[in-house]
Amino acid sequence: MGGPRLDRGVRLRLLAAVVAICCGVAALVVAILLVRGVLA
Amino acid sequence: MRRRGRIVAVLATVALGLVLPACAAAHAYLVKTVPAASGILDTPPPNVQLTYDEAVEPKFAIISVTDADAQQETSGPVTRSPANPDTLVVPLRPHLPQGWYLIYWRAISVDGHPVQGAFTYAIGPNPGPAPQFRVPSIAASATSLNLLIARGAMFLSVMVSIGLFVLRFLIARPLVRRVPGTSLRALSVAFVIASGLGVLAIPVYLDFATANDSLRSVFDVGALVPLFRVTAFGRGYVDMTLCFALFCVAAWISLWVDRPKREQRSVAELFSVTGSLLAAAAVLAVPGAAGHAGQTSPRGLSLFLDWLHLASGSVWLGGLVGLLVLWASLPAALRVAGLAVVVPRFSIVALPAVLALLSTGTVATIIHMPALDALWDTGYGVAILVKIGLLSAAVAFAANNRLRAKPRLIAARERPELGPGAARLLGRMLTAETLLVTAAVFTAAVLSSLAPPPPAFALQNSALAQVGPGRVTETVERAGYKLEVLVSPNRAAAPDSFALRITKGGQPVRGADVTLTFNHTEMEMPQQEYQLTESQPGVYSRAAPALVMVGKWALGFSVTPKHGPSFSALILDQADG
Repeated sequence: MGGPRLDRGVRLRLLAAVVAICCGVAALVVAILLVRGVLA
Repeated sequence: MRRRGRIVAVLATVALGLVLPACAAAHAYLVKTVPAASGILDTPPPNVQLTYDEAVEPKFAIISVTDADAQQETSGPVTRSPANPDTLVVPLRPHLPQGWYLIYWRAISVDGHPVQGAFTYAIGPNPGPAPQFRVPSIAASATSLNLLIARGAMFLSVMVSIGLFVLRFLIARPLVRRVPGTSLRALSVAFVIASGLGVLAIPVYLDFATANDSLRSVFDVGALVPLFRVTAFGRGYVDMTLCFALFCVAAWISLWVDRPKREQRSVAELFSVTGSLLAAAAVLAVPGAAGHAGQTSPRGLSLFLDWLHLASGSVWLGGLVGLLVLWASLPAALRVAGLAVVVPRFSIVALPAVLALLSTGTVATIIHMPALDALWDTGYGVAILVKIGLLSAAVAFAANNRLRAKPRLIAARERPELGPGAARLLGRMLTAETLLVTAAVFTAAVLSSLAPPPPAFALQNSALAQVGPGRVTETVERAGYKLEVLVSPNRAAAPDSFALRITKGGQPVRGADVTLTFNHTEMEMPQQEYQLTESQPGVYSRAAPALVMVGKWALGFSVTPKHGPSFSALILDQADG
């Protein structure tokens, strides 16, 4: 069933990368809300 | 051509969107007072009510009501009026005796700058002559040296962190592949230290600023933390702390997943670097939104310029710090080869960054400066000149690096004897350039702590005469008329009388329509306008509570003679307390 499983280290790195991009998007949302408040 | 046309249309739409947002007043100003300024009341008022053009925070506001002996007459703290969120109320002691009273107020604007003002009122029916009150000078800024250092350190750590990240991940990464035996470890350590300092520096600065605004000790953290999100300025810096913390998490993950020996980045590396860059972009948007740029019209353009200014400054400064770290950390035998890889790549990024920094700074200066002479006549302008001087010197060193050190480093690949000299030259230039840009960042911290001169500053250039302090008797000529201006006693917070005697050919000019406008040229205040009445033939006068603050006032007389065209005359008057 299914293809080859990813190595545990690779999976951990991918998970960390997803956390990193979530951090980036979250920071961007905070800044956009702040700027939108100023422009309103 | 059609494609180019579409691009132009998109760019024009974006530019229009940035320029269009509504006009903004830079700072909070008073729009209404109860009791009225210079009014004489029959009965003592129960409280003082000050209405502003925005909802200023009562916790950071001071309203002092004093009598002629400087005795405080308020009986409770400043609160927000339940009927109007823009109105602050302070209760007064009951049964105040007849006499004159001074109301002095200080409030914190949305952009974190303190604003202040003063006016008088009297309780009658026989209050007697107005005494001379002591009015705090507007030059007394709420900025302290500690606050400036905290602000400078905050900007420095944040900008260096972001610039180091860009250098480490986008510029210096190929180093370990191209020069075997080298490592990016020192750069990574420098980034972790700088970002750690940034995580501390932002809340420390917020603590200092809140303590300054609320007149508390910086160590009274328990009382200060609940006040952090009370003002728009505080909310901005709380958001910046959050954004920067998110940037640090993403960037530290990037450090962990990065394998610089591989030419191709993995999916995990691409994701984490993208996340870090998004967070860095978000961090750099906050200072503008919480400061001058967010309150300067056109706001969209000002915010974009401020963001680009900070971003390009971060790339430049962080890159310089990173090059110095590399210079110091590379083994002596590999230093020249290593720098020959990184310096040309940094040059490609640094040139547009410096150009963007200078051009955005120039446009922002044009937006903020109401007149050219504001550059040398105001503290804000002088800070801009110092910053320009420091950056110009840094650019000179940068040009030297680009034109002398970089070509020698590249030539050293084929002529190794040039290497050590080139590396020494580069080290000296980088040190000088870094120190100058760091000094410019601290100057920018001073600059952004000062209030820009108001638009009324530009009126100074059209003044026919400069008068005051003290009683004024000045004669000027305008449009063939002789105008004698009389101001007495010409003191702030005193009921002054203003008169204009108009003659032509030695004869009084009767029946003219004369209005007098007042603009403070050193701080943002609403313009006041009064109609003068003819008290004697050709003499138009009025007693008006107009000079409510010490400083330079532009007195603008608009005269419409009964027969003949209208004209105006402007006098610059210095009023002291």
